[in-house]
Formats: sequence, C-alpha cells, structure tokens
Amino acid sequence: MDENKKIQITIDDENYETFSTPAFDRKKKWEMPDDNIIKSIIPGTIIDVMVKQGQTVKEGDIMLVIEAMKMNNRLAFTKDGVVDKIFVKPGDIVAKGKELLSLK
Amino acid sequence: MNKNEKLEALNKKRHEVMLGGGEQAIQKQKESGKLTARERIGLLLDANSFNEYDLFAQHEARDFGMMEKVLNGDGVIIGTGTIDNRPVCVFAQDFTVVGGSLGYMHAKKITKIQDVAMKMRVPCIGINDSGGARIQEGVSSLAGYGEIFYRNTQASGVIPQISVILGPCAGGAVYSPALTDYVFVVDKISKMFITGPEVIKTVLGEEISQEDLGGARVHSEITGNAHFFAHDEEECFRQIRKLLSIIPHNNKIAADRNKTIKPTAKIDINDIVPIDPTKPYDVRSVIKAISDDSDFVEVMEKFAQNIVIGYARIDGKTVGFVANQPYYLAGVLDVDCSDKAARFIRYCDAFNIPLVTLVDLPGYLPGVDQEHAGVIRHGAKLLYAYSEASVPKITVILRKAYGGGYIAMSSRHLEADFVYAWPTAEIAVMGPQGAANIIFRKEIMSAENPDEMRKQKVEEYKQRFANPYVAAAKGYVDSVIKPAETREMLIHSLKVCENKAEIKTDKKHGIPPF
Repeated sequence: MDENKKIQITIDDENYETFSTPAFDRKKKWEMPDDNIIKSIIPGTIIDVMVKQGQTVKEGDIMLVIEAMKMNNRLAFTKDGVVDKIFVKPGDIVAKGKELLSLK
Repeated sequence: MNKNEKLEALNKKRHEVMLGGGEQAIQKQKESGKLTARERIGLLLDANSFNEYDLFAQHEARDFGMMEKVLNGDGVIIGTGTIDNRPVCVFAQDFTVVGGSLGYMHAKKITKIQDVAMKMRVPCIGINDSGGARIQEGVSSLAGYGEIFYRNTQASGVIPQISVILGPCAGGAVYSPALTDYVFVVDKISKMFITGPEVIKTVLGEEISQEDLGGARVHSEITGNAHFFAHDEEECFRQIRKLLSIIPHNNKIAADRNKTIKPTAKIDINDIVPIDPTKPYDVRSVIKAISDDSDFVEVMEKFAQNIVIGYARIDGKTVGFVANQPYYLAGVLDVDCSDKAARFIRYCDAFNIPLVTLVDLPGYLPGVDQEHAGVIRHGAKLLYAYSEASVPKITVILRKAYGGGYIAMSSRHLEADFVYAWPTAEIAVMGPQGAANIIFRKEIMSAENPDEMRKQKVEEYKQRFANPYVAAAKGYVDSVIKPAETREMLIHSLKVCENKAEIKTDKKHGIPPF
C-alpha cells in the first residue's frame, strides 16, 4: 500500500485525501485536438508521401500511403489547406497517434 | 506376453509418456524457473488424489512431417482429483512437449475434461503454459480453441472455472482464461498478450519486454485480466485451494458451512472510520472486523483498488463483499471499478452467494478521460448487476453516500433487502461544500463576507442533511445502527434472507450494458 502516491481528489468542491493507483498514475492528460495536425490512426509503415511542403491541398486529396495490417491505406485530407510541415518520409514506421503532417 | 509382462509393459509405457518432452526439456523448464505440469497438479490437488485420463492420446496430424512425431499426451495432462476432499477437474498444458502447443487432440483432451466438469458439476481448473496454436495442424488448432471457448461460456455460472497462467498464453489462447471466472498469475512467470513483443517491434519499431507488455503485474494492476497475483507457484496454488474452500462448487449447492469463529481483528470497529468524510482509511479493516475469523479472500486486490471485492464468512456462511475503498482514489466510482464490481456481483448472484455492500463514496470520478472512456456505459453495469441480482443484498452505509454513487451502491431503490447506516452516514445529493455553493449561491455572492457566509451555509447544510436520518425518515434506511452492532445485524439479516423468494420473469435473459 505504501508504494502508492498520496493525492487529493476534488469532487463537488470537496477535497478528499487519498492515495493513487497504478492505473490512475498512467492515465494521459486530455488535450484539445488540433485539426491542423494530422496523426496516424493506425500503426504502420509509410510507403509514399504524395504532397510537398507549401503545397495547397483540397479536401479529398491523398496525402500519403501507409501500409498497415498488410493493406496499403491511402490517407486523404479532410479539409482544405496548405501543407506546413511533413514529419515522416517513406520507410518510417509510425505508431498510432504519431504526427504525420500539419496544415496551415 | 503373460499377465506380468503385460503389467510391466503398461508400467513402462506410463513411465515413458509421463516424462512428457523428456529429461532435457524438463531440465529446461526448471531452468526457466517453472515447475513441470505434473508438479503443478501435485501442488494443486490433495496428495495422491489425481487420476489421469487420455495419457496415451496421440495426434493424427499428417502434414509437415507430423506423422513421424510422437508427442507424449499431446502436450496436455487431464484428469480429476480432489481439493479438501471435494472433486475437481484439471487440465495442465505441458510446455516440455513442443512448447505445450495446442493441436486438435490436445484441445480434444481439454474439452473432454471440461465436459466431465460440467456433467459432474465440479470446478474446472486449467493450467496454461503454451506457445499457442500448433501451426502444423492449421485450422484444426483454431477449431480446438473455439470448442474450448464454447464450453467456457456454457459452463459460466454453473461451475467455477479457474485459469492459472504459468508461462506464455498468447494470441487466441488468452480468450479461454478471459472467459473463465478467476485468472491466477505468478510474478515473472505469467505472460499474456494478443500480439507479442516481436510483432510489435516489427510493425511499430517499439521495443517492449514480455513482462512489461503482459506480465503478471500488468494484468493485475493495469488491465484487470487477472484476479489473483502470487509471487511464486506454491503461493498461487495455495490461493486457488483457499478460494475453492470458500466458494460453492456449483450453482446448486452452497459453500461448505464452517463453524462460526468470532472476528479476531484487534482493531475496535468504532475506531476505523474517521468522522471527517474527506479522510482516508482502509475499508478492509471494517470487513475484517465483521467477518468470521477476520478472514477475507480479496479478489482483484491490485486492480481498481477504489472498490474492494471478495469473500468472507459470516456466521459460518460465505458472503461476497463489495466495498468502496476511501484509501484509494477516495473510493470513487469509475470505469474500472464499476466493471470489476459488476462482474463480481453477477458471479455471486449466479452462485447464490449473498452480497454485503459497504458504502462510503463521494460519487463518480470527474474528468475527460473518464467520460471518454465510457463511464456512463461502464457505470451502468454496476446498476444493472445490483438490480438484477436476486441473492440476499444487505447494505451498510458507513459514512458518505453521495449522489449517483449512493443509488448505485446497492441502495434500497435497487431492491436491497436491508439497508443499514452508521450514525456517521451522510446520505445526500452531494457533499456539503458543493451543495451549499449551489443552493445558497445568491446569499453567498451577495454577502459582505462571502467566505464567512459560505462557511455558515455549509455548516447549515451539514446540520440539516449530512446524516442518515433524512433517508431513515423516508424508509430508505431500515435502521441506524452502531458500528459495534454491525456483525450481529448482518448475521440476523442473512438468516432472515435465507429463503428469499426469487422473482421469476419470462424473459430469456437481460441485456446488460457490456
């Protein structure tokens, strides 16, 4: 029991003294999603990047191809914009949630 | 061959097959810190009580040179034996025989002993130590897994099913344990995952050890797949024997009734719970203070510790305890603890084990992560399980019982049979701070000294509502009792509930939110 951290939990303005649990310690803080940053929705390998930095893109344009679960998945933009930064190149192995590119 | 020669031949054949994968493989098993399948069965069962079946079973695989391969027992040992002189069925995968891989005959042996367990209405204990499907046997191994899963499901709620993970248990193999009632794991020996570290490395480039991915601690603390954690195999088998001594061996009989032994806990029950509802304490002390011999078998001790579940005896008879644990996360309800408690309640209901609920909680855990993790859906499981349960349900409200948490924790409104409250109980929509801030918002805002006014209003609210008597006045609480009277009240209530009539409906089964 002693390995757990002492914490305070506030519910309805009441502060409770208590201790943490391993799962509670591991939880990630929520962040407001930014729809200008495109993240991988699946772990896989980047096969091809179809856009260049500074390129103007439209909703529906293909940005890149990612191989995941033995399938080549073509990822399309869901909004118009200009490619700001590209964080990956062909051959990169990406985890789910990895930033792929950003728009401005 | 004369008779003696035939007997001798049997002895020889038995001896050969019982060596499993052979001396070398046994040596290797030991070097990896594991016991052999036969040693494990020996530790699990009463001495010399094991009777083995299908010792001479052979696979019928033909492809990939399997025809020439003799696999002793096809990598699994099945049989019956006794624990505390009561019969049980057992299977134990033998890692020394081609890594305990599961081929069709291997699976057939497992389903055979599952069928015996079901027919004879005795517990079934599976010891898992296997590299997974025997690839050479192709779809036949998959068929084998499926047939095991089907039987796990059919037997659910009829006989206790126990899975012991003593080695790898990967891929589809994990789902048999997941379907069973109790999963036992041992530190540094148990490994459970759907996709192992090698695949993860290939696909993601992420390196993780088997231990960090799906070791005993991970499943005991993070995933909630495991129910009992042991430091070594001996302790693990002692835990299983202990559990089977306190739970019924099928859904038609009660657990063995013990002699009534008074609680031995040295702590005075009056001293355990601090009067200030924001202060923590260990609710297990209360459980021990009211249970026979202060003996409590906690289930899922390391997972979602904000709720405590487990078995104890009161007046010699087994009960299932569900208790908020203020020591951890203030005893809040959240996704994990709702899931944990709901399944336990359904288990107790299936096996006719009365439920004793101890309440002390501030409500649900606030936060984006909880909302997004589905606290609505998971929290509903707890409401469903309590409402559905037709076993005797006795509730004791120790201290705070606020808001939705009050309703969920086996309240009168979910048809608890008897609800008691200690004088320290506070049954209200929320704690005094929050309530005063809402109800007296205008007064506080417009006061010359808002802090002083708030203090005054909080005190006013406390006087009026932070007690058990408002609920008692409405009959939601049957009796306000002294802590020292709790055990006697439970003994009496359980006696009154002994012949509780079950309300039968004509529905096939309900649809719980899982």
